[in-house]
Amino acid sequence: MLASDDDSHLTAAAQAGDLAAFNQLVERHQTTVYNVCRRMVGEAAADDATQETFFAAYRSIKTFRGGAFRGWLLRIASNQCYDQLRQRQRRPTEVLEDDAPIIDPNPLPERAALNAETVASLERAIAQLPPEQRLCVLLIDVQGLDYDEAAQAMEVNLGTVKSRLSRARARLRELLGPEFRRMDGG
Amino acid sequence: MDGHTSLPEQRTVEAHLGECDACRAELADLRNLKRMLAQLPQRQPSRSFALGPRSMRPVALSGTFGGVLRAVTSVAASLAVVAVGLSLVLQGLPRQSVSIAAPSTAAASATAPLPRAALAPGNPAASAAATGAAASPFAAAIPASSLAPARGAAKPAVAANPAGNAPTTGAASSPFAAASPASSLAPAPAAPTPAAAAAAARPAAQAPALAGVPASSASPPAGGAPAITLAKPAAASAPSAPRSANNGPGAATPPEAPSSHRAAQPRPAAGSVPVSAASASSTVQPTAPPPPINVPRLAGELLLLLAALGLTAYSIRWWRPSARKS
Repeated sequence: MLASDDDSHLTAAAQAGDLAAFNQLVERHQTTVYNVCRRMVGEAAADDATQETFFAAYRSIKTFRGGAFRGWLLRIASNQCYDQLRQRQRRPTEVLEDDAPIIDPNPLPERAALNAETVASLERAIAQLPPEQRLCVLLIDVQGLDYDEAAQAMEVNLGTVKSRLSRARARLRELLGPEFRRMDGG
Repeated sequence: MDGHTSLPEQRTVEAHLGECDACRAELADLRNLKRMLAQLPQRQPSRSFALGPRSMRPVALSGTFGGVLRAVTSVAASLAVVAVGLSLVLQGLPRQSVSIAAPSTAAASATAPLPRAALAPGNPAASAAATGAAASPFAAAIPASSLAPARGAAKPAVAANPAGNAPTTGAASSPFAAASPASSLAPAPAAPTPAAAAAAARPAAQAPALAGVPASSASPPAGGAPAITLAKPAAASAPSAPRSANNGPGAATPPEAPSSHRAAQPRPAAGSVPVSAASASSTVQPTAPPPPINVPRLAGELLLLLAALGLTAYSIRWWRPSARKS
């Protein structure tokens, strides 16, 4: 991931009203935000959640007090995802998509090591996690954030991050079942 | 596994793993799981989420304060709409018409309970007998004494009940029809119409009600200016006798009619009033002044309604997400 120094330069420019600088930040982080949103709220709502995340980030860019811009951005994204999930709970008849696993037909080259069956099993298992645990796994194990950054993104303390991650991993092992050991690990 | 244990803890864990095969297998599973999760494919977004110039415009408030403000604004706007609507309905705005009565007439009859007196109907025959003239349908019999004594004490006058288009049975169900007795158009004296004679011959159940206008309700005749007025609604269930008694001394109360006839007093409709007063003189039938429409108040309420609607629309916009990027 890009150094936060680069982000800080761009965030300073964006805070001064430079839309081009903010759009550079968008281009840098939109893949991460989009994939987190996609696995949190599903394929159909991922675009909306991502776009709302960047709208909200731009509106509140002046409140950014420094630090990891990615963590701050993912906090906005997680809030957007939680909002959408809550709305979906209030309107349970509104089903955006089925529970089919999300299989990327064109994965990024550096992440094409897993076969399609393994990816489908993992995506299906992740989708069955509770939202808090799912977000924790996505941020730390999938996106590679460290614990502190994940705690910032989830607005919880470090102990909560550890406990959620532990429970999420244990739950994933249960969901994957005995076939888990036969899966290829790349 | 993630390197978040202290050195003593790590040594303890390693010592246990050297003795426990189950924990060693579980650690291997977790590491394998973590490695696979890290290799999950990342999908490229199908489009760029860079913001366009439209994003620079002011947008909705966000956060807790924004949510509270949106909720309060929406509730206030809805209450304002309901309040204005109720105000308009309770005023009975659609049931009122514009009074074009001469000021002198309105002033003279300000205290005269003409509408109530006009509620005292008579059947057609009785009305015709009282007036001595064949009145048009819905005509109200006005005894001679009901008019200005100076000019026509002995002259019968027929006050046209102009709006009585509704038949008796239909009007009985409408409290407004029963309560609005006199939308009197009293232009220049006119001869009785043939229709009036025909109406007089109708059965009571079908003919519109005829109302006798007592003397006290007839204010001094105004100078011949036509007056189209709507009377203030009155309770339909109240008997007509007390109303006639309220007309003051000297009031000529027409023959009492059944209450169904009172209720049959049709709702006024100024545009359909064809009748004339049968007074021999050229005086204008005086009418009770209708409650004047407060034009500034009405305009203010309409403005308030528009403002409330605008506020509602704006709050609805607040509830919706902002515009997509251009």
